[in-house]
Amino acid sequence: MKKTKLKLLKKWLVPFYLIVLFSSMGAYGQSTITGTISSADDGQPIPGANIVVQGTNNGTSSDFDGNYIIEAGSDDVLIFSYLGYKTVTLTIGNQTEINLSMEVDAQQLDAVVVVGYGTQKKGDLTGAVTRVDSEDFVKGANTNALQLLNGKASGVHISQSSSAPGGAMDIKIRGASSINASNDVLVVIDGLPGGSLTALSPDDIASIEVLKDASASAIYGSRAANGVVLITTKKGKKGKMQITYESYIGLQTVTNTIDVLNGGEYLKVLSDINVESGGDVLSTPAEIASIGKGFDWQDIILRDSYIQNHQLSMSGGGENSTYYVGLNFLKNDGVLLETGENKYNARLNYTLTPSDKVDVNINLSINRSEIDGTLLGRGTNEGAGAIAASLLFDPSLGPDFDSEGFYVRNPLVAIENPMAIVLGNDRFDVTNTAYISGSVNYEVIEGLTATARMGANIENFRSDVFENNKTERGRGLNGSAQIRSNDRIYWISEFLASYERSFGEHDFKLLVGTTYEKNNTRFILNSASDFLSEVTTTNLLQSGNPETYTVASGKTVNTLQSALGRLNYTFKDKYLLTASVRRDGTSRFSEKNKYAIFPSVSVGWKISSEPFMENQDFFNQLKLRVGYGEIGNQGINNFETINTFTAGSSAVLGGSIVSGAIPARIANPDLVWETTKETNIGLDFGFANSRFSGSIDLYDRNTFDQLFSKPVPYTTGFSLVRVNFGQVNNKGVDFAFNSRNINGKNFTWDTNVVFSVLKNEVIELPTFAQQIVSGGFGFSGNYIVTREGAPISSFYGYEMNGIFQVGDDIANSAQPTALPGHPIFADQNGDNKIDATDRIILGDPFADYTFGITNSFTYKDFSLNVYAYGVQGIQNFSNLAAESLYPINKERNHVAVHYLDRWTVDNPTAQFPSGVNYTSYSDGENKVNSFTVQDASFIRLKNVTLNYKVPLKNTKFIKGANIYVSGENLLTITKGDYIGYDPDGNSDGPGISRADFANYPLATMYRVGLKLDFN
Amino acid sequence: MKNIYPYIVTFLLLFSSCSDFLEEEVYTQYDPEVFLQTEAGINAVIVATYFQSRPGYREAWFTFSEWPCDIMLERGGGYAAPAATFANFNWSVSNSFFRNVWRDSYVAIRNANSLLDEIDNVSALSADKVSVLKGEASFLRAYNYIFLHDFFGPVPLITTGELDLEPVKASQDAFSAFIEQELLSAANALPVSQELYGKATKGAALALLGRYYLNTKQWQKSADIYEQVMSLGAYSLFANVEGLFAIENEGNSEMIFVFPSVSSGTNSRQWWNYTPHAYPVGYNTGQVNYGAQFQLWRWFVNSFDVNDRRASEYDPPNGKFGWIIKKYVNKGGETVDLMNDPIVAGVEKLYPRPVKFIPDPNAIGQRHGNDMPILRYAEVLVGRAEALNELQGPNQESIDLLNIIRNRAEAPEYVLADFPSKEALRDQILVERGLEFHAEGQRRRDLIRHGTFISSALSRGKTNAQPHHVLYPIPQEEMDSNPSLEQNAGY
Repeated sequence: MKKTKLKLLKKWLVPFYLIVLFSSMGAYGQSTITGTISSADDGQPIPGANIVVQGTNNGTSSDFDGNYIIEAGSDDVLIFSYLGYKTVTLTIGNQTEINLSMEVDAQQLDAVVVVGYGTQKKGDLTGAVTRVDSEDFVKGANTNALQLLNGKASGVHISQSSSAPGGAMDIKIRGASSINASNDVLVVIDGLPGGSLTALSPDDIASIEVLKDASASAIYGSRAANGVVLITTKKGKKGKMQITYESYIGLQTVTNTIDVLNGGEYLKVLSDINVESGGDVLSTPAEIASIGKGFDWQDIILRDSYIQNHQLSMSGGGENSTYYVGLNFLKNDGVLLETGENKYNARLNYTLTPSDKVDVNINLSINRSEIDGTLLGRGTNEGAGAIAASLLFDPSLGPDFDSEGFYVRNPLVAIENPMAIVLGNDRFDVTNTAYISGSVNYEVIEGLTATARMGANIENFRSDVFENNKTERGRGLNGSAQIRSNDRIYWISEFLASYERSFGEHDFKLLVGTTYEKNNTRFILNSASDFLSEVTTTNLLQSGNPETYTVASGKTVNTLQSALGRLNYTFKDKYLLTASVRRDGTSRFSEKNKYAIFPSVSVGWKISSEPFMENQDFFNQLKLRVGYGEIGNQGINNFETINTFTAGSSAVLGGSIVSGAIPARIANPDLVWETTKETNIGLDFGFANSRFSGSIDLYDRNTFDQLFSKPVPYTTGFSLVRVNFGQVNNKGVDFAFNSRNINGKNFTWDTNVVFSVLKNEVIELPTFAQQIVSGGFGFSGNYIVTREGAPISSFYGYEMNGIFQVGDDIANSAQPTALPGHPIFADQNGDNKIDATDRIILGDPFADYTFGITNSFTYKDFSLNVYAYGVQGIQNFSNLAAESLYPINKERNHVAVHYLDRWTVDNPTAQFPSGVNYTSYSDGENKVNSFTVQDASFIRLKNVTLNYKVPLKNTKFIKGANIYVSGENLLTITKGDYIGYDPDGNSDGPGISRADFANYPLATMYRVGLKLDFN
Repeated sequence: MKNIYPYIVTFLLLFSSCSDFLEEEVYTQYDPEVFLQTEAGINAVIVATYFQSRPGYREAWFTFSEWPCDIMLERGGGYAAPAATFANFNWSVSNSFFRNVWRDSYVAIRNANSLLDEIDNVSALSADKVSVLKGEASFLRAYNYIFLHDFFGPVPLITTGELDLEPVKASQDAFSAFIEQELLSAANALPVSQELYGKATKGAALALLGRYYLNTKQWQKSADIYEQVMSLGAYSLFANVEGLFAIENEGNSEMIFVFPSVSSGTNSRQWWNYTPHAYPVGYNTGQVNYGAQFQLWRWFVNSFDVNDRRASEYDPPNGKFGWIIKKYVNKGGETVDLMNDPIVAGVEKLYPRPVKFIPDPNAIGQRHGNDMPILRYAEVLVGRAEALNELQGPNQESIDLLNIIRNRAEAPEYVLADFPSKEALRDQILVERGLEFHAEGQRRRDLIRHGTFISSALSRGKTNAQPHHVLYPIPQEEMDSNPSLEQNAGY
């Protein structure tokens, strides 16, 4: 005991004594230097800047107002430093007051990159990590954090699945690795995994990091299989409160409409085909003429609409704390009648530093989203949504009422009047989200920091759907209401310890930690119909007919427990090593496979720091990175490894409904994690004094033990069993390049390019499922296939070989019953008949390459930002084309070109078949063919923004003002005649397969905005 | 050294995993080892088997069994294209209707198997209850196998829940032996009447076996088993033929087995939405009326005797509640005559409508409460008449049995002397079955048994029809997932 005390005494007292000694020595012949340190950027004082006398331990820091006092001699040199600013070195000379205006060091700001459970200097990265800072975000009316990244990060393919207000975004990092499990990326917001990208204000985001390769993402183990997106929100800086108000208002108008038959064309085409089919004339020329163009249904239900956004941010800090408060309001009226979104967001990021050993961080975010909608979606018949109806409804009928006061319908078409759908279906979705996270960092001894973090994500969702008597269905039910309510609570506890130490030229950083996570979701679903009165909509379910009541509820819980560790080692600041390991356990797997270990290792070599590089002055930065990592996917559902019975299949017996129960599944206790093994080789470079810089990464990513729904014979009473098998490969190149083309005093021009090439391939499938055909859409049959040697979910159908002409030897063809004007299906296997074995792969849903180009120009106080991106070599299945060419009943409207250029005796060179007796060539899968699988490549001028920094004479209240005008989705160039609103959209929802059918239309947007910084 | 201990302890704490934390908690499903030991659990499984056994009438009765036949036609709606595929003998092996019917039947068989596998180990039930439940499960399993057999021929016989990933088709003989044994043991175990309406009875098992014997041309066995049904004394024809399927007459003495419906159901296997298909275009009703239109050919309606009550009109405004809509005043106030108005080629929606399942006045949306009739006494009588004719040629008993049906409908009686040959009576029996059972999913079976399914299609100009079309193909997906399965000949 005594000995220990003595040791402590030595350890702490001796250095203290020495400091006192030296400082008293140095005090001899010294004078007092004072001054104020401010930021050259905004003139604000910088509190907490370090001032050190070079070569001594004599140092101080600036106070809250930027003032400092230091004792130093006239020969001494002072070093001023502050994170994010260029370090300044000054000889004192005879000065006694030194006021300094420090310049922001953009490079140094970039230098710290968030890597998951910590940060790393950018120069020390060994994995493939892309950081996008707020100033480089995609400009525009972004309502989802992913939009900020769209086309900005190489290897990251982002698309807007639906353009509806609040619509889903889809992100794929380096392709898709899983055939059946989730391909969703892991989103981590301020350290809290599993966040929602829509439930925060894009204006609150400071930076987004994407962990692309497995060596970088393996620290997230079983959830990293599809890459990790780390979002860091803004924090306050010590000093006076900064108030910023940003706002824009925009006008949206549909980018393009789809050319369908007008009223007259529709009647004529129907009648002509009926005559050619041996039927009667359905409409006389006079009747056709009297209809004229009929009704343009897209024009009737679509509109120009407004969007506005307001963001008020306040940040600052005192001696021991900093804060950032962001308040946001977004109002987006959709381009479809009766649709829109309101979003409210409040955020508080607070850091408290009660002592120099402890800091406490608190992040609070509350978000409310209200989405107003009508019936949309992929229905093609009675359940068709508004957009689908506007394309398929009889264009000779308008938004008019029949004799009973109901919207008119064509009795031959099972689609409601589009106006009845818009006004008859009221949908209202509300999501309230709260993020709460608190962490404490405690520096136990020098270099050793312990961190405890607790966080929760609480989400409440409620969806109200009411169908009133404007639709025939609503009338039949006398009003129909449904309320769904979900609540989800996710919580996490983490305990981390990190230790950092240098021994000469060796720098070590070690991190260990453990996390506990729990997800708890519950739902309630109630519905009723046959109401006393419709005025109460979903607010008085009990006024419905009790016989129509339905109730449902559910609850699921899953847990994840992990231990993790990471070592960073740097030798001579040139040779870098990162190694990490994570051990994850999940409740979803059975006892024997509960845990799995995900290791990674990567190395880096700063070539430019080598002596042999000193004699060249071309490269100022050159670094080689090589990494390998293993990551997992636990994307199975709850209970897949155990046998259970579920309630359901309730039958009517004895005059009422009696509850049934059924075996839920074929359990498979042998299920294991899907594992991805990835190798990445990267090169970071900068030359001509970093005027040009960039990186190139090559990767090879293999995913094994695919969690697969193996189709089992239906004779088992089930359709599938979950098994592990097979391998998928993604390989590609990610390239990013920044260039300052012109660097004049008044004029600058920067170009930023990202480019990615990707090849997705299924390497191995088991013998019992060499070919997995799936994915029916609407009334079309299966349209995708997964098989060895091809990308996942390739489009699978018939190749078309032209059209039978009069005089062709049809009887001896593979389609002996075809008529002239019918399409010729390629008989791929030459067996002289057309059947399922003649299908081939017609395309795939992975882009061959994607790119993004940003050009920014500044001239004096003006800046212009032009951003375009492209997706090339990608296909989708157009169910609209299928519905048009092979309608489920012919009285529906059609895409104009399909019928204005259809085969007739007088138009033998037509592009499209005759439409006569079309059911004989359009049974199920026949609809998937080279007419309906289309090239969805495009190049889009996404955004042009012109900003003017208003020169202010009087800065008493406002110290900075910017105004801008901006245009979005200004131009989209597609290949050939793309049929649809947006080749980037996906009616098949976020996922791998891609289809286009009556998606919510994309809008072009023109905005004016301003940004004010208050004094 | 001591000051390192706290760190070691902390480190260990960090990495200790408490195994309870990762145990999978189930809140919404049942552990079979507990659940199936209770009466409630076993009952729930038999209920689910009833539920799953109820066929989709649109697929089984109409798509498969009427459109490729002679009496009915479909036009309009999203359903027009698939219906045309069947009417024109154009179906492909990957047509999803085959998959759905195949899959759904095997799910029902699975439910029955999961009960039969377990029930002998259940101590919570009395021996009597076990015996009846086994009878019900066997009946429903046989019902599904016969259903599959009608469409696909002898299919693989799965009789336990043990996983078999490559079962092969049964031979016709083995299949027939299985059905016979299954239904005879069910008939033995089941009571003549059950407490809960809709549950299987002795009569149901016998009548179903009679139908199977008839369709597999085991005439003597068929005649005998039908006689057993008659001798149960439990059934008689319902006198008011027009109201046979009306809601208010549910559970009448003619019904041997039905799948009951309620309009408050939440699933299409709990309600009956046939009626919206039968209402003609612009029909003046507040009820849902689909685009898909189910119709009867005019020649067929004209083939009824003028006095035949089975062809009486449905015209509620004029107090008529018969089986066929022949004329109506539409929403626009115009009178539409479905027997005489000119047919517009290419539209073809002006044909009479079969509404024998009299619309439910309390329908909720598309959901009507009419029960789905599966086996009724008329079929027993006509079936025995047919079997006896096949065995003996025209005979008085056959004529008498048919005349029970004719009399109930007030149609003129048949006279033995009018039928000089077995063939002549056979043909008339086919006609009579059409008159009695149209729109009940029987037509394809009858035409095939009488050997006219393909020939009549060819005579209607369906040039695609080929001899192998008497069976539908094994669904492509099943072929893909089971390499041991043999496709039906011709596909």
